[in-house]
Amino acid sequence: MSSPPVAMRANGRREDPNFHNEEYLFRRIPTTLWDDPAEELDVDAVQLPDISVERSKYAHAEWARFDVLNDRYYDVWGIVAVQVQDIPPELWREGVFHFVFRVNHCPDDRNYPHAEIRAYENEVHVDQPGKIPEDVDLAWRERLLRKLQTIIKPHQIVRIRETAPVSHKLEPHVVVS
Amino acid sequence: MTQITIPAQVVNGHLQHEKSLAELEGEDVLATLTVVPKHAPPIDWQKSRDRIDSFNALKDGWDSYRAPAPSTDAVSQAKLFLEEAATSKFAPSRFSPAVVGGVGFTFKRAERKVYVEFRNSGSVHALLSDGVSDPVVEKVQPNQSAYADLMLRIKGYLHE
Repeated sequence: MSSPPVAMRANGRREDPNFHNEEYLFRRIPTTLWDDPAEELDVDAVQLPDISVERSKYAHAEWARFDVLNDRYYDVWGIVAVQVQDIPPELWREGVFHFVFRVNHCPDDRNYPHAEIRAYENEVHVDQPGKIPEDVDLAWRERLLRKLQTIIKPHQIVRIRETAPVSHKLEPHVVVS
Repeated sequence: MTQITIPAQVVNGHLQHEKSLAELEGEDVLATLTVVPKHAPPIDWQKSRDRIDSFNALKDGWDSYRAPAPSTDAVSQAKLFLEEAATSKFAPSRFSPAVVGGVGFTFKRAERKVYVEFRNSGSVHALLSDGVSDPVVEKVQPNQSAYADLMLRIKGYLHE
C-alpha cells in the first residue's frame, strides 16, 4: 500500500487560519457512491458539516485518497473539490434559524493539510448534525453540490507526488492508468 | 493529464456549455465528445431491490469518514418507495446510501431533478431543483400513499 508523503506531516507547523478565496478543498468519494466516471454525483454524496477536507495550499488532490487515521489509501476513489469562495456562506429558515458556514484549518500531526467546513449558529460551532433542521441542511447540501468540481475521476490511477504544492493553486496531476 | 467532463449540447452546430473552465485558462486542450443516449436502458427492478437490500450490510464509517450506516427503517421505506416508482414505471436515475445516514433517490431529466432522501431519523424529504434557482425542499409523509403522490409530483415537475 502507498504511504502518505512525508510532506503531509505537520513537522511542528502551526495551524494556518488564512485561506485564499480560490483555494481548493479536496474530498474523496467512495466507489459505493461514484463508480462510473461518467456518472454525476448527487446530494447523497454531500456530507453535513463538519466536513473533512484537504487544503490545496498544503496537499495535492491525490493526497485526499489517504485515510491517514486508519492507514488506508483508496487508489480508485474519485476526488472532488470546492473552492473556499464557493462554500454557501449562510442559511436562514423562516427568519429564525441562521447558520453560517466557514472552513477551519484543523491540522493533525500526520495530516497537516486537514481542514473542516463547519457550521456556526450565533458564532457557536454546531457539532451535532441534528441541530440543523433537515430541510435546511438538504438545501445547503444541494448548493454545495452545485459548486463541487471533479478533480480526479474514480478508477483513475494517478502518480502520488511527494513534494508539497508551491501554492493554493491547482497543480495538474499525472494519470498513470 | 487533467481530464474534465462537463455536460454540453450541440446547438446550431456549435458546442455550448455553462461550466466555467477558469482552471484551464491559457491551456491547449483536446476535446473528445461523447453522445449521451436520450433514453436510458430499461431498469431491472429486481436488481434494484437487491441493491437496496445490500445497503443493510453497510457499517458506520462506510465512506471512510463518519457516514452512519442506513438504518433498517430507512432501507425499508426506500424499498416501499421503489415499489411505487416501479408501479409508476418511472425509474430513478440513481439511488445510493446517503452519507448523512439514510438512502437517496435521484430522478433527472435535462437540467431538472428531484432528489428524495430517506433519513435514519425517519423523515423523508424531496428536493426539487432546476440547477439554477434556489432548490425547493418539501417534507413527505412516510407512507405508501404519500409516495404514490410524490411519484406523480416528480413526473409532473420533470416534464413541465
